[in-house]
Amino acid sequence: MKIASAQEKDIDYKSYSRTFSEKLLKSEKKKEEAFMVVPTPFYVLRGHSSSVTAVAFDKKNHLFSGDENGFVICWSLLDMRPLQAWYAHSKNILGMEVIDNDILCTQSRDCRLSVWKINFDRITSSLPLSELSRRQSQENALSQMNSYNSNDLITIYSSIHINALTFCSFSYDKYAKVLAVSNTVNVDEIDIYEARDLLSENTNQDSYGTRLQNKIRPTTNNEKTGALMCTSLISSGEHLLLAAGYESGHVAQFQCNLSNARNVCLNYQDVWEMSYFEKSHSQPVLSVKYNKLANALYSSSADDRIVLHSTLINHSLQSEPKVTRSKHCGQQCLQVRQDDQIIATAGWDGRSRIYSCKSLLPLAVLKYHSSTINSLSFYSNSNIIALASKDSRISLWKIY
Amino acid sequence: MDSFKNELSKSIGTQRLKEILSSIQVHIGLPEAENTALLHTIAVNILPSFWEIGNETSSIQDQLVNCFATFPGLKLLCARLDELVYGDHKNAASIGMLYLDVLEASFNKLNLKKSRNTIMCSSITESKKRSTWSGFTFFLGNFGIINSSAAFLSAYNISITNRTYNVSNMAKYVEILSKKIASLLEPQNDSIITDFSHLYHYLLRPGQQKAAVSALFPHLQTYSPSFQNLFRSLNPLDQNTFLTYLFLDLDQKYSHFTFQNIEDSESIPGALATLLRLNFLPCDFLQWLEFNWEIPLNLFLMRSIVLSCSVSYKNVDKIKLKQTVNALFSTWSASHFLKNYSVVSQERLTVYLILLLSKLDREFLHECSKSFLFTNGISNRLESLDEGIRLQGMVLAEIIAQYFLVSETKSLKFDVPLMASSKATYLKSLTELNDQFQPLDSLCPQVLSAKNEKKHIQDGNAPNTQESVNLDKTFEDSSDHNERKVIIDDLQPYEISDSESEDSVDDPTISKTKVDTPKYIQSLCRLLLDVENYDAQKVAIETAPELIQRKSLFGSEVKDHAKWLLEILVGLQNRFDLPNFDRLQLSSLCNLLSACPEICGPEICSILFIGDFSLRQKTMILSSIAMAAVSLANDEERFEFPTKKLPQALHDQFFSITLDKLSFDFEKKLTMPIMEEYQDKIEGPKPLQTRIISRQTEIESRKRSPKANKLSKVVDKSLFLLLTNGFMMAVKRSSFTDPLFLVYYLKTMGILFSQSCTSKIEGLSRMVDEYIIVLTEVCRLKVETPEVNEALLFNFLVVLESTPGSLLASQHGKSLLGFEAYTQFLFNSADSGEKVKSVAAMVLLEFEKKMKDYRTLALEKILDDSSNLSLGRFGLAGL
Repeated sequence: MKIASAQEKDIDYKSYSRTFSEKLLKSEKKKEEAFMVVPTPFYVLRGHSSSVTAVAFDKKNHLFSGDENGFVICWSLLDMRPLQAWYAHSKNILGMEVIDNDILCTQSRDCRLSVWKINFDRITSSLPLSELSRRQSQENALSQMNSYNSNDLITIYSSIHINALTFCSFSYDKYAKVLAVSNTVNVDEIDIYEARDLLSENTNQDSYGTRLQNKIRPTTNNEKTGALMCTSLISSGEHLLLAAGYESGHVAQFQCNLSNARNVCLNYQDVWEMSYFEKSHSQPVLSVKYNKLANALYSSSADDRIVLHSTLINHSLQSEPKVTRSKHCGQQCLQVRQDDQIIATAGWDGRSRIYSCKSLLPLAVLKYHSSTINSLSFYSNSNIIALASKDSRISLWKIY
Repeated sequence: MDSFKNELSKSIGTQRLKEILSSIQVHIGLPEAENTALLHTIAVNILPSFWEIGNETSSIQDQLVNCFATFPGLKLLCARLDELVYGDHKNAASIGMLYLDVLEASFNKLNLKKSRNTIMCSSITESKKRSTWSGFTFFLGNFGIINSSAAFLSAYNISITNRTYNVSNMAKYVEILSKKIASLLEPQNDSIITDFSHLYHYLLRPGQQKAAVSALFPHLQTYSPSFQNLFRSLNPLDQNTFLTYLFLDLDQKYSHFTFQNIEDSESIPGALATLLRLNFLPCDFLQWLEFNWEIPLNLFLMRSIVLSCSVSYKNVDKIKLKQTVNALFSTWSASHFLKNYSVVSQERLTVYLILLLSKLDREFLHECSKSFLFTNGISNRLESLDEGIRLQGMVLAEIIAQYFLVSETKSLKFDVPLMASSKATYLKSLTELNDQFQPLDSLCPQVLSAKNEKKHIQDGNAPNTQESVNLDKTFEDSSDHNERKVIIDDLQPYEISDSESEDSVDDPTISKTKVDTPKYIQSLCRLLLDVENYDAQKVAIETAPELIQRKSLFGSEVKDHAKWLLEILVGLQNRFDLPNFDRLQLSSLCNLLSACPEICGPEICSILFIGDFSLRQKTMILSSIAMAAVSLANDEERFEFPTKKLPQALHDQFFSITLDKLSFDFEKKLTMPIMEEYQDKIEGPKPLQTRIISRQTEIESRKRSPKANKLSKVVDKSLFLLLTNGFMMAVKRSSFTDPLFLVYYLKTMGILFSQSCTSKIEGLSRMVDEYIIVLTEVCRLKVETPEVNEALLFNFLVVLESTPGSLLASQHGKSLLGFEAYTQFLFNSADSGEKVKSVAAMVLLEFEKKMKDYRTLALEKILDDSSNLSLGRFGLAGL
């Protein structure tokens, strides 16, 4: 009997200690896992012969990249090979965006905004590297630029003349179907263009586009903003929001009703209203981006700050922006992942940094490139990031 | 009593039995012999016939149970069961089962208070009362009932699957007894409750402490003096056991709340502490903590324990707290503790210590930080190979060191990656916890669940607003505490390298990348080409001379990139006004030239005359050629031991090689013998002066003996002839007749010639030819600048000294005579400076000396050349 009781006691205590040790182990595990291994790129795409300035994913396993010479490569993410490559522009590509499944919009310093359709059905095999380098050689550039029509794999939809003398790349909203670009004459003003005719195949290549509103600028008390550096468009419910970053370090937000956005107005103030204006950077703002819910706006600049501005529609009354200092100056590009969990910045020091959207705490440093990272892009609904660097390489990462 | 016994031993009617039973109930509780005998009779005779007869007997059953629910009754039933086990009875199993039923019912009905009163209020002596009572409690507490019933059940192999007996189940038995004690925890029982402490003590001993403690748990929710009396009457070991199981119970009860909602669970430690302090004193917890810290508990419970034991107004408690902390700390510090305890329990102790330390006063902690215990403990831990143990040591050291009142501002900080881990942050954050006693409401499960439900409803209705509210919150939250909360929600960070935390330059216009010193010639070239970058230029030019020299000793790296590097070096401009730029550039070039003269020589000579260089660059090129020539010729003197060198600044000042210095040295070397000789002549022979002889030999020995050196192998085709040819072609251009250029050019030529000509080389005669042509050309230019003339004279001197006399006389007699005439002219000219005149005088002396030997030959040659057909050729020999 005594033995029995002793055993019972034993079992009893054991069960206690087991449950507790399990709990403890769980918490221990959590703590130990707190630091995960240093991330490394899972693939590096080499193909450009000069600084890669823009990257964009589509939703069908393709990555587009553009470089300093205006050369664009379309990569397949299935076999990591170039599918198509062509000279889209004669100068530095400022920005590119996939605006529909196989439609790519590119903007370049040659003052053109071009829309391309890639016929993926007709592309049967990837380009050999020799072909890639042949197409890339400068001698072919001009001849290629004139022979788009003969190429049935890539067709040019439209190409309009717009100002690209600043470094501000265009931004596009697919609900409002409008484009925001820098004003033709004044570098500190924004123009809104109709995007529909860009997407119709009949647009004349020498067209100048349809301008809906022009010369949008912050209404300030003689505060100089300097040149427009970056813009971001997003539609949120009834409203269309336009954020702009300026050379002075100012970040401004304009808003309008989505229904009015497509009205042609001489005076922009009939449509747009400035709802936010804040100097949160000491250096030119290089990138502004909204999160998916459009209730937070992130900005990066040539200084070391990442700023989270809260944006409330119809109220200019916002809480103080949340500033985090990365201690590393020059964050060229900033992107927010679609799930609003993380943001990534592209640094002049060749490193990309990942921050938590909520707390802006640093989560990871992506260290691979030997030179400035110019652009980065998230693949929608996945954890893949592409970084485009001055060292002419594109690295692909899987983060969270 | 005896009469009852007799009556009962015979057959008896129901009515009479009832009467008898009710009359004996009053006395039956005392364990006296007659009571036992009576009960025995009842057990043997009455029970089989009257137990389980039907409804009418239920009152009899009750009465029977009342009789047996006493000390002697229970004891007798157990004795009977034991008897059945060991004896040999008919129908033993069925009788045993009957007894078991009675025992079960009696035990359930047992009234402890009544039993106690029966014994205590009887007429027996006080000591007997006590011994009887303790006999009873011993009987109950020693599990005699369970032993007997279980032995019976197992002996007869009776399966009791369809019925459970409380009396045969340890847990049930303890639970029932504990509940019986718990029911006594009423205010009116305050005085008698201590009598049951022994019983409770027995209950706490074996394996069913959990049942014993949880039965009392409802009474702990309120302030209960009777419980406190009971608890105080227990011995310390039992008290500790009680607390242990109480904590484990609480832990199990409330742990799920902590995982559900962080905000709500923040109040749980405080509320638990309130609960604990209702009926316990701080010293109870301290006493428990000292010996039972190893019990695995959740953090929130640890917090509440620490809170409950640390808050007290009594000095005794404060002292006890310090003593406990000291005891725990000495355990923590001991090296055997590190070896023999698991890391998990070590961490538990660390957590307790951290929590306790924040509750102590500064003076004590100050004492603590100075104590040997502290330093010893920390050092023991830091020595450990286990990361966790080291981490605990470092965290605790940092915390205690804050109280080391030496420096308030600068506290101890272990700047290692380990301390940046989340575990370290977790441990360190424990100090900032400020638990306060909270109302007991928050422990109420309804409150918690209601809160949660409310939240869920909100979430369901308006997720967007919730989100934005949360976001707004994060804006406002600036305190560390809240930040930490946010981290918990956040994604886990990847590992970030140490250098990340370093600040880079604030001004983005200044390049922030640190330029590494180049390791390869190729990278050096790239840095040199990066003319826009100050750092790159500075680093490159500073490392260039040494790198080239080092790389030239092995491999073909320098040779492979020689031409490229040479072009870069020659074209290099001092854009950023770097210090020592010229010297560094020159020595880089010089090192490069001497590393691969066969490649760089022709290249540099051709670019000197072809390239569009400034005068500075030209002079630099020439200087570098000369210096390279010297270093090539004096191969063995290339390296100096650092210890033989003056400090760098002084060395640069006194020993930096320039072309002027080099040519001056040579000039001195060349003219010294002549000067010595003529000094002798002027002063007259001094035959007795032995010193002169020795001096003469010294001078002679200083003269270079002809031998093949590195320079002589390459000099003619790689350098010399190219320089002479190039000059002759370029002399028509004004930029190449600039006095400064001429000075450098002539001096370079002189050095080159003097350095290489000492040995027998194949192209010597051609070199001399071209050299003489160049010198003649320079003479023809008739530059009036004294420096040029001086350089020219230096060259004459070199020619005279280095070239074999016969060669000169036979081939270049005419030119030599021309040179002599020019020297004469310079010597006599009023314009030429004092220096030139003195050099000219020396050159003239040299000429004279040479002429003495070779004049005849020279003249003969001249005549021979001029009049080939002269018949009287030999007749003129006498001239």
